Amino acid sequence: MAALIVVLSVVGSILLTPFLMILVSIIFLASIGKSLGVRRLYIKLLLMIFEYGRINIEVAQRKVRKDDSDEEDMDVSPETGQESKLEIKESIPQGNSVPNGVVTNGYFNHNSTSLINRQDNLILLPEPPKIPNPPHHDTDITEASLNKDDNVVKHFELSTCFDYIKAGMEAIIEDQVTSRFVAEELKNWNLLTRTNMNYEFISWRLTFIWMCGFVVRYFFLFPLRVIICCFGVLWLTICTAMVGYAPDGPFKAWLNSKVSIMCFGILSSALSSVITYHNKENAPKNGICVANHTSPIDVLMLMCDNCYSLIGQRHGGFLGVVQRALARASPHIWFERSEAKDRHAVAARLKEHVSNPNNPPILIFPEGTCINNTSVMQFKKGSFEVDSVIYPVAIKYDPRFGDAFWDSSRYSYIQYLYMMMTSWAIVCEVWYLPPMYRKEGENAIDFANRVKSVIAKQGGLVDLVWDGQLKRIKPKKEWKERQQEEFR
Amino acid sequence: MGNESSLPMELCSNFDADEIKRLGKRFRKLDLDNSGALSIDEFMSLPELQQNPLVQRVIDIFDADGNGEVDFREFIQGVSQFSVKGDKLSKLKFAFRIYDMDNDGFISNGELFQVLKMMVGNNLKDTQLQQIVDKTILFADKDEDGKISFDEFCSVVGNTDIHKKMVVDV
Repeated sequence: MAALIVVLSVVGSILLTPFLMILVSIIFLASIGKSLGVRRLYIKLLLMIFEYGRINIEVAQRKVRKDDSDEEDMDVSPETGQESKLEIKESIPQGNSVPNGVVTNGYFNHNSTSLINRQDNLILLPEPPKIPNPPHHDTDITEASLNKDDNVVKHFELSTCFDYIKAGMEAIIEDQVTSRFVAEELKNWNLLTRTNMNYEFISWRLTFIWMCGFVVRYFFLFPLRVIICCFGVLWLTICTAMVGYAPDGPFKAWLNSKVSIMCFGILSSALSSVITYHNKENAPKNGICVANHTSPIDVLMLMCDNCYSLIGQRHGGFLGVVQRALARASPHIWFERSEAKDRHAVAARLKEHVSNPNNPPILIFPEGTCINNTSVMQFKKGSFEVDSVIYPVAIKYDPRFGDAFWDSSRYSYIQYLYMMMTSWAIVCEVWYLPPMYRKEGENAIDFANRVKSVIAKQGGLVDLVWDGQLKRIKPKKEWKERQQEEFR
Repeated sequence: MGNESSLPMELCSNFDADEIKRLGKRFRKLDLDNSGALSIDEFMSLPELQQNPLVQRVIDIFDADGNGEVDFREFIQGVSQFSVKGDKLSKLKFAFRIYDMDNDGFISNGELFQVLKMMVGNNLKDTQLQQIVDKTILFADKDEDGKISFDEFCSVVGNTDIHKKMVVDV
């Protein structure tokens, strides 16, 4: 026993030095905003390992299929085996883009994401009854009447019900809404147990790789990230407190932007995030910036490159600490839960913020809730009423390295952070889109939808009209009425 | 997973093992209270179904034994009629059952009226609706008994692309 302790302490002291050196160098590099490209290398390595795992799984599956077919039916398995191989190949270049080639004769690989499945159905779908325009919350009359016009009165035939039935069946098998509120399914296993719904034991080799990965993630990366994160929060608190003493004016704003980019750089390295920014020339300087919302770390991803003011509810706990720290250095809009109902008060504060050109751009997530990064849901019109210019930003995470989606009904924020820190990495792409202007006579809802579709297109996300609040509330009765039609 | 493996294979002839597995997963997800059967409320928890005017009819057809809930066997049987491998006849039967509410093998004037009412809601007046119903029955009713039999139904809709329209990928 004593010998063991001695051995452990010796090993510990040997490992501690390099560990600390890595820690210090990461923090140092992050604070000056430079990168040695280690993380990108790490991502490449991971991809190679996943690829290896995929081939392994595939071989194992084919073997299983062969066994099955020997026992049960002969004709299905060779075909499906081939198919699954095809599809997995398909999945390698970022699954979100296009639904091409995914379906042949009605099979789906059982690892395929729901997204693609649905896309395909939509193409097959005859448009009439399933007006892909389901209802908003605050529909105003003009919109309702617009919809009626599209929906031309048509002749009744006995076969008219087919479309309804088909739409209904599709929804039973896979619906577009509720699937957005749970973690996205992956096409091939990324060697994390939490995504391992479809796989059981596959092969010894793969299990070994998984165990190695486990050790690396939990015993090396996790402690390292926790320390960096704690340091980052502490540093942020200190820095913002100091910036808070500076007199208001352009100097403070400049100082704040430098400090916040540095601090968030450190925090983001606590998640080993690899962020690629596209079209930096479009990055907002002031005004209103809207983005799609996947998780609270969206803010972190954006703040690493540009300084934003935030708007949101006052939180407690860990988020509260960060919020208070941020509020010291630059103007943010935090409101109490009771105030949130008062739309006018919020809008007024928003307007006030935007009117001052010294203020950093304000970052808004108009979806109002976290969506699992496969789609964009209805944008609330509120933020589009204030100003006539909007800077859209699209954020897309790569789910292979760790799912960034925060399922807030299942996990607390700390649990979520723990899952983030034990994932492989957070890989994310950010697109700054050119500013969009509200057209003459365009109402806020149309403008919101226009911005949303631009974001969805750029991020490779499905553009849905559904209200994200469906996560918590039941749909309204009137929606059904909108689907009913007239016949002659 | 118990209830899936215990399913007799001939029942799910339209699906392979993978598809059954996937449908089982979906079934468990829809089964919010884990009762092993889907109630109407559970179906209605899907916003897209909620707004589908004919959802009640579809669920009624799924519910083969009429106990108000859809168990896994009924679920598979129902979905199976929409499989690409499902034959045209079973698809036609399903469509016919949408209108044939009391399952007596005929679509009566009253049944067609009720189903149509679901589809149009308050968009049309009852008198207008009744006119459409009468016209449709008159058109389809070859033997002039005032109601539409399955054969008559088939001869009207049989030439539409039911194979393409009533297919859902599982």
